Amino acid sequence: MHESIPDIPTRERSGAFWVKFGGAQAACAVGGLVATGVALQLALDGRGVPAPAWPYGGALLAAFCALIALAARLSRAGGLLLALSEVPVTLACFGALGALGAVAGTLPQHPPAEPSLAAKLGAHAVTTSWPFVLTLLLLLTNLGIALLRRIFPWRAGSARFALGHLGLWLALAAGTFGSGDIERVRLEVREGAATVHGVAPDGTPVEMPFGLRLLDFRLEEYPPALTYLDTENGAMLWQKGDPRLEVVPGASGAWKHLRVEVEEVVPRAVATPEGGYAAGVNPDAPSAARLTVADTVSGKTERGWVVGGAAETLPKSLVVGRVAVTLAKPRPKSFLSQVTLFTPDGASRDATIEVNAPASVAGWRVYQLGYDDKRGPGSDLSTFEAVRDPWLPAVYAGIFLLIAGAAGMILGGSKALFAEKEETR
Amino acid sequence: MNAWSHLPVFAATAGACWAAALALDARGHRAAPWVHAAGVAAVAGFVALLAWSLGRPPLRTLGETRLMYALWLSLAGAVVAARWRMPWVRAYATVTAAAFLGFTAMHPETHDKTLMPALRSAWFVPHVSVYLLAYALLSAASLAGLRGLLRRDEAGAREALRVADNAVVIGFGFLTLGLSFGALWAKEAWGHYWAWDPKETWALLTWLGYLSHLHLRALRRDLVRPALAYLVAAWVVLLLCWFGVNYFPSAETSVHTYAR
Repeated sequence: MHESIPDIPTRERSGAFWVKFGGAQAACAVGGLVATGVALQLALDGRGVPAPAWPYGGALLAAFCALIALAARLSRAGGLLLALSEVPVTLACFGALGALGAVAGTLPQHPPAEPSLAAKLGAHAVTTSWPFVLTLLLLLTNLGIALLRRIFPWRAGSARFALGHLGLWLALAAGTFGSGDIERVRLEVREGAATVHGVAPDGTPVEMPFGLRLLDFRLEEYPPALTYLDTENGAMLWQKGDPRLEVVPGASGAWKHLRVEVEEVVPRAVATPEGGYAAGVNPDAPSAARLTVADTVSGKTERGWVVGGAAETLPKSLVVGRVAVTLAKPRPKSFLSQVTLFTPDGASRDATIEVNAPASVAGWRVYQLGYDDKRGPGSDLSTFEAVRDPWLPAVYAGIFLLIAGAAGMILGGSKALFAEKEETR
Repeated sequence: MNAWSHLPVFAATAGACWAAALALDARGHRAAPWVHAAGVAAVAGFVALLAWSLGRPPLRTLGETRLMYALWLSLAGAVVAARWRMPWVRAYATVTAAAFLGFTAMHPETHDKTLMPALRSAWFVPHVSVYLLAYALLSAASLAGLRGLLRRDEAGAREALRVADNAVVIGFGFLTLGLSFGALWAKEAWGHYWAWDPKETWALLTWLGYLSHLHLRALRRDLVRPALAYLVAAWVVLLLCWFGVNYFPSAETSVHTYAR
């Protein structure tokens, strides 16, 4: 049995309700905070917490840190400030965030078409609602004081505690106080053209500190798949999870009572005078396929062409009983943009931007967003999203500390984690 | 010469080593980890050969991805098993890895089947692999919790909790890695590290659930049966996250639903 460490006073654990601060008291305090959040939410007519932009976000974070440092210093005298840093408050915050998170994970998180009490309470924008943000700030306070108390003075176990806890604090604090500084701008460019203008999510035009010229946009598609429609009401009969037959020559498969064989596939199809199809050069033209479809119930067999819909070609389906068999829109296999990026200092460089591979320029990252999906491979338009998040290094520092802490847990196990507890029991 | 044509030889070597390692494990033989490692080396050798012949890391097609799963899982499973003397983790990882490997060898059409653009990333395989390990370890912890709850004697319940606690700590480590890798990948793919996608939200709830267990255990070492019961409850959240999210109203906008 160890002596309790002299510079960390233990609180009086007896007496009136708020003197003995345990699980019940923490739950009451956090419950009160959530209720305050709900009241604020209603009083402000459903408007959530505004995200402050630089310099206000930074100033608020500095003030928050100063308060945490002060609270950590004063908590040495024990009392409620010490209780604020302890595990019961942590657990109560987890409980509240978990409950609010369950709402966020269950209800759609975009404004509903009609105003409702749920929307006013922030149930469709939980993470910017007052109850959520206030609880998150309490958790950051709790974690912040606990961190300072554990690393000043530095002692055995401080490093283990600091890795994960500091990582989480950094990532959460930078993510929260920096959320107002994130800029997302949409850029649209046609092949051969260049732009310095984009559009913010709220529709306001934005002039970018860099220029972008689209040299080439390239799209490759998967082979089209078959789909099945109801001839009486036009409803889609193929459903998620049904077998998907890719239309390549020689492919065969079954869907419900139909057996399908693909005889011939023609890309960029052009109708021929004989009623067939031949491959053309127009990248906007859809594929055509000649199929044999057998109805295993009625025993009937149909043979003929199906064509996907596109601007200059008549769509065509093969009707078997009540079912029309046709080609679904092909899915993109890969798409990329070759661009030239111009920086404010007059320099330029070429880059390839694709999904999962953004380009960095002048403090922004430029992501491949989409293209003219009506035209598919024929698209000469590429859309990009430029994102700027000046707080990202702090968030990443937090994430990397979390990763280091997690590696420590995997290699250290529960014995290392609870070692101090075992010793001081 | 297409490197894929050599896969059956490498896969058969790995499979034979892993089967031998499992048999040796059953007898408690000390050579088991080394025989397993030889199997991992066979997979690593094939991955190196493939990468060399392709001139790029093998992360682009379905077959390449499954191959990388086999490598990651068999490696990480072996590390956890060796560090913690939990042969079952290696057995689980081996069976999963062998399934990936066997399926890839038997389905040559997957070798060149390009993944959808959003999944083509160096983060994809590590992200999913650490989650597979995390879910396995946390599920094991909850099953140990259930077994402990059914024990009448206090010593038996305590021992079950000791075993469960260790699995929770290691599993939670992997869960944190999965969440972090996911955030880093999201930044590369979608421009932001956290988008409150329903699957992300439920993954965070699962993470909070097990983090609460760790804090409860740190706070009250004396509560044994409540802690065991809590582990069973936390598993329900994990299962909701794993299987249930796609059925919630929020899933209509999720990027984690693939059954299309």
